[in-house]
Formats: sequence, C-alpha cells, structure tokens
Amino acid sequence: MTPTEISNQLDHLAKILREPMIMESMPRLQLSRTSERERIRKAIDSGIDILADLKSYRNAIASISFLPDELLTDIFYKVMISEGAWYTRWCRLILICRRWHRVIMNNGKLWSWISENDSSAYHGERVEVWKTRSKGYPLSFKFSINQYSSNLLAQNAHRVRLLELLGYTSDFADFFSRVPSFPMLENLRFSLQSSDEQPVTLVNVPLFLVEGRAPRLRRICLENVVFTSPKELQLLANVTHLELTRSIDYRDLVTALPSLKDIHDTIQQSPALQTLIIRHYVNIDIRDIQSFPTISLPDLGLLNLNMDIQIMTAILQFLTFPHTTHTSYIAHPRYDGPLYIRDIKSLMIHVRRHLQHRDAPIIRSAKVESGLYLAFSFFQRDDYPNPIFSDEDPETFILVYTITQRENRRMIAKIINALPLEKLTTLDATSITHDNHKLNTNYFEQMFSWETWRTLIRLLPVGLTIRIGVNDALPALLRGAIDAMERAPNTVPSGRRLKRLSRQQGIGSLPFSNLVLMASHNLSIYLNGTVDAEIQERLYNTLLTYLSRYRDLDTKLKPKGKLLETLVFRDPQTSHCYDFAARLYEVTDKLSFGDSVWDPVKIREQERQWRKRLRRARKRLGLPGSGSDHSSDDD
Amino acid sequence: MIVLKTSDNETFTVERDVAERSVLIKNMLDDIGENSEQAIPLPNVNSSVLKKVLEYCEHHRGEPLPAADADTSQDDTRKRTTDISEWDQKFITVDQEMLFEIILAANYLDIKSLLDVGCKTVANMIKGKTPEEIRKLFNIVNDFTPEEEAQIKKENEWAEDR
Repeated sequence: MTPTEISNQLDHLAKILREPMIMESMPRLQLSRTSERERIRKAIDSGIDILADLKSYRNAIASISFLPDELLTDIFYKVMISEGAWYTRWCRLILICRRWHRVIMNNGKLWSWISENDSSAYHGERVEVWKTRSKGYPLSFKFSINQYSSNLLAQNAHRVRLLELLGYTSDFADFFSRVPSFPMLENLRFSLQSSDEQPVTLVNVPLFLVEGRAPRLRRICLENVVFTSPKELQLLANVTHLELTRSIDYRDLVTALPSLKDIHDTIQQSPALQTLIIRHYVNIDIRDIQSFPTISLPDLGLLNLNMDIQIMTAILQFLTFPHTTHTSYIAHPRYDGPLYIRDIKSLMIHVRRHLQHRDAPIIRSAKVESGLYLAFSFFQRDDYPNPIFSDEDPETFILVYTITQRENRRMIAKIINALPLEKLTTLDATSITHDNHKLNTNYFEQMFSWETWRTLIRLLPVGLTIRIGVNDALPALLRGAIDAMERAPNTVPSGRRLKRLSRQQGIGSLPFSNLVLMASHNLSIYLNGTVDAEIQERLYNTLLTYLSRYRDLDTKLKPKGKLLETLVFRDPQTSHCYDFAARLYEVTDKLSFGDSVWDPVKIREQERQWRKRLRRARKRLGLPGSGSDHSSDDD
Repeated sequence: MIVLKTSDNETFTVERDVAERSVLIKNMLDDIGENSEQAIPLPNVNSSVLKKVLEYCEHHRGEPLPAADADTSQDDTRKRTTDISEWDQKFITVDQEMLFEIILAANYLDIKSLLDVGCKTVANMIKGKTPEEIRKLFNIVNDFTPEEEAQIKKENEWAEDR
C-alpha cells in the first residue's frame, strides 16, 4: 500500500467515525457477543500500525533522511565519541525513530566500546548484549582488573583493539595468563592505583609483550606502572604513541624508575613516534645526565614533558623533532639545588631553537596564568580559544614554579625573551586573579603585582589586546603598563631584545603605544553570583583615573591627548560598566559592549525615536499624556 | 582548466588542482586523459551545491589529501572528533537542506575532508540534545508504535532518554 493510499484510507475511516448517524444506527449488540469488540480492537491495532507507517513515511521525506545509512552511522559514531564512548548516553539515539533504531542496531561499530562505567545494575547483561550487537567488530574494552574482566578478555582477546585497565598491583600479576595473544590490539592503557592495604609496587612485564604477541600495538600508556626491570621498557618498540606517567605521590616507585639512558633507549625503539608524554617517570640521578646519541622523531606531533628541569633539558638535548610539534613543558625545580633560574635559561634555549624558525607556527595569541606557578600558553590562532568550547592544544605551554613576584618577573623575562612574539596580538590574562572581594589585596597575595605587569608589558609588542577581568588585576595591569610607558622615553633599554625593539620602534614607543583592554566579567561573579557594588565602583573609578593618565601621557609615539584605542566589555555581568559608560567614553576612542559600539549621539537619537513612537501610540489609544509630537523631542 | 557540468546543466570551469580535491573527478580525469576538453557530467550535484563545494575545494587547494583508508576510529580523543576549523565552521553555516546537500555531494564526489566537516557539523547539532529536541531539530516524528517503543526501552534499559 502506498503512503497516499494509506492516507486516503485513514481519511475515510475518520470521516465514518465522525458521522454521528452511523454510530447511532448501529444495531445494539448482545453483551455476550465479543467478536465485534475483537474486530474493532484489531481495527484499532491496525490503525495504530498504519499511523506509525504514515509517520515513518513522514520521516522518510525529512531532509536528514536523504543521507544513506553509512553516513548516518558515521554521524552517530561521532556523536558517541564526542559525548564519551565509554558512557551510554549516546544510546538515546535509538529512541528517535524507526530508521535511526534500525541503522544503529545494524552497525557493530557503534556497539564496540564496552566499559563497566555505567550503572552496575545492568552491567553483566549489558556487556553480553553489546558484545552480540558488535557483530564481530574489533572491540574497545575499559575495565577494572578482576576475575570478570579477565574472563571477558580471555574470550575476546582475538578481537580486542583497544584495552584500558585500572586496578591494583596484586590483581595485575596473573591477569593476562589466559590470553595467548592479542592479534588486533592497537591501543593499550594500564593504570595502577593504590589503597591503604595495597600500595602501588613494581610489576612484571606481561608475557604477551615480552613475546611480541601483540603485533599491531602502536599506542601505549603506562600510568603508575613501573616494571621490575627498567630495561624491559625497551620491549615497547615501534609505537606511535608513548605515554609514561607516574603520580608524584607514589614515591615508592622512585628508586625503580627507568634511568635517563633507559628512556633514551626506549624512545630509540620507536622512530615513528607521533606523541611522547613523560611525567615524573625518570629516575633523577645526576650521574645519569650525560650526552646521548641524537634521536630524530620526524613525525612527532606532541611532546609533553613534566619533570625535574634538569632531566627535561637532558631529554631535549638528545631529541630532534619538527618545528611544528606542539610542546608542553612543566618544569619542576631541580631536586638538588637552587639553580632554577639558570635551568630555565637552558630550557628556553631549546624552546627558542624550536620556535624561532621559519617552519615554526606564528604565535598570535597567548594566555598567562599565575598562582603558585607561572604558566604561558601560546597559540597560532588570533584569539585565545575559549577553554569551555575548545580544548585545543597550544603550540607551546610552559609552566614554572614561582613563589615571589620577583621570581615571576625573572621567569617572565626568560620566557618571553626566548619566544618569537612579534606577531602577538592578544594576551588573555583573565586567570591572573579571581578575587575582587578583598580590599587592599596584599602585595604577595595578588597573583601579579603592578611591577610584574610592568615587566611583562615592556617585553610584549605594541598594539596588544589584553583581555582581563574587572578585578584587582585590572588596576595592577594599568598601573604597571602606564608606569612602563612613563619610564620608557627616558630609559635606554638594556638587554639585546629590548635594544632590538627600540631600534625597530624608536625610544618612546616602548613598551607600547597602544593598549586595547577587554575588561570582561570577573570569574568571582560566576562563582559567587554577586559582586560588591562598592568594590565595583572603586574598580571603575580606578579604571577612569588610569585611562585619564593614559590620555595625558606624552611619549614619542603616544602624543598627549591620544586616547586608549579601544575598551571592550565582553559578556558584562553587572550594570556597573553601563553606569560608567558616559565617563569611559570620554577617555577612550572606541567603547563597546559586546559587538555594539557605544555612541552617545546614536543613543540619544534612538531614545528620541522611541519616545516619539510611544507618544504616537498613546495618542492613538487616547491615553493621557500623549501631548504633541513635537512638544518634547529634546527631553 | 576543467569543465564540470551539473544536474541543472550549468557548467563550471575550474582549475585542475581544485577539481582534483574530488577523488571521483580525479579518477575521471585520469581515465579520459590530459587533453580532453569535454565537460565532466555530475548528474547528482546541482549548481548551487557545486558552487559551495568548489568554494571549499578552492580554500583547501594544495593541502594534502587524507589517506583513502584513514581510519578515524582510533582517534578516540573527543576534541578531534567534533572540532572544526574556524573557516570550515563559517563555510558550513548554512541551512539544513544545504548542509545535507553538501554532505551528499561530498560523498558522491568523494571529498573526504568535506564529508568529515559535514558529518561533524551534524554530530555537533545532535550532541547533548534529548530525543525530543533532536526530532524537533530535524523535523522528524516518533514513528514507533507504543508497543515497539516499550520493547526498545526494555531491551535497552541502560539507554538514557535525556
């Protein structure tokens, strides 16, 4: 039956049922006669089926239904991965309509990610159902190490592609004993955890790795897994992704960690590495630090090191990788001495070599963070990506540990001087301080003092857009920036970089001639929901004061009277910025709220128009106070 | 230069390296030889869609083509699955009908990267939404009978309908 015929039949049926005469003229049935009721019940069931078919036809002509099954599957798979493949949330898609249900049920790939991460009530049953529905497709498993997962693995080892295991050292010992080989295994992650009864201790390398019975293994992550013999680490050969990490709290493992030589020899086994992550996984022994043969990793896309700075520098000495490789360095002070700043200098030599190159990405935006540490993320894109919407890797991330503002300034000089920041256009500093509730923030409590800001801004290129919250960081930034500008005309710059900048831009332009603030909302508003009006008033008055000082400043490239180019308020969370708009407009060239430029002439004109329309409306309705159209336009 | 002829008989003259972002066109060109001047018929693509597709190919000309057997299933990181570059995002900001037309054209013309952008966009539209919101978004209705729906829910008790 075609959809048109179905539709005609339904129309006909509806007409009959709506006709009261027909119902009234029906012969009275005997109560014992059930066949008529049965017949009607069947007719209703049939009607429901017809209606569902009609709805299916309705769906078939929706634009998304023109996509073939394989493309729908691809889309569903992407949804599943992005919402978390180990969770079952994506399964709601089977409830959308018959076609989506059919497509999902028929595709083994969608059912191939199996974990115990959901409600345990259905766990065993669900695993069995998913295994069946996966239809022989290679499986991805994520399980705790226990008897159940051991059995499951033994039964399915022939088609396991990805394996993530979490457990205690004692459970790990015989876990793989019943698995002869992993012919499909490509991705392996072991994580060991500790409890009061079971500390993390050393483990033997699983036999399947020793005997090479996982020939397709390319991605390995060992988390708190340290082998009894560090040399055995070299069994992890020909991989493209190597992640060796240890929680810094698991100190028992320290003495058994591989030496720098072991790490060198392990990396050497995998020349096609694309990702290399090492976190507190190298034995810190000063005797180990020596020269090793260079290892070239031409495919390396990400290098992430988090460790003692001496070891980090030693690793960088024997590695060569493309200038496009994303790098992340969390450099801890050396364990045996106070030479941190000198070590940072050595580290920055490597960073400079990596980024000061024609093949290296151009750095256009940066983010600075500070607490008990100082961190910079550098991005190629114009605007620092919003971390809520994107977790894009920076081109380079550098984190060092600082305690005092003086240390901050020294580190800033070392880091910024090593980087090619001539094209930097945006600095995101919204994380610098979160607390705008404290009055008279202590010099040391404030994450960046104005002197630190002065140091930083002196080193950055002109015309920079700085994004910062309306909090105590804002006056500190403005004071530091203006102080740097005030000092600059009479200061002969010292240091190679500043001299070069002054040659390019002329004395008087340093540290900048142009500052664009993005005085956006404050994080504390999100956290606490309210702000102290008095504090906000103080902050906005301070902003006005500094912008006036900026206006009156007379430097070679910033003549007296030239206003701050742009002040933008993004996503303002309080009305204070609007209350101060008229006064801020006087000390800026361009004032914006979001994408709307604040222009008092236009605003007055709009208000006039609005009043006019209101009066006309009142007049039409005969309401009092309508007056004349021309009487009070200038109110 | 290559001439492409659409289903509505419009012709587009494009540079070879732009057209060859499509594996289908590349194979056709390989088959008919270098010097053929005849228009390549694309009966499954209309002119408005081809115009958009060529805009994409023009922007991405010179970029390495993804391997034919590239399997993204190993790429289990969430961000790579649904991240789309800024230009591509702007490019693909079109109405739903055009979006699905672009996806179908990319599939037919075998332009893997464009197909990927299209599918990622649809996946992003679905992400985080409830079944009812998804139905509303794509203008589809719940066509299960009550019995079917009850049965599916019973067989998939772990499935969240939120």
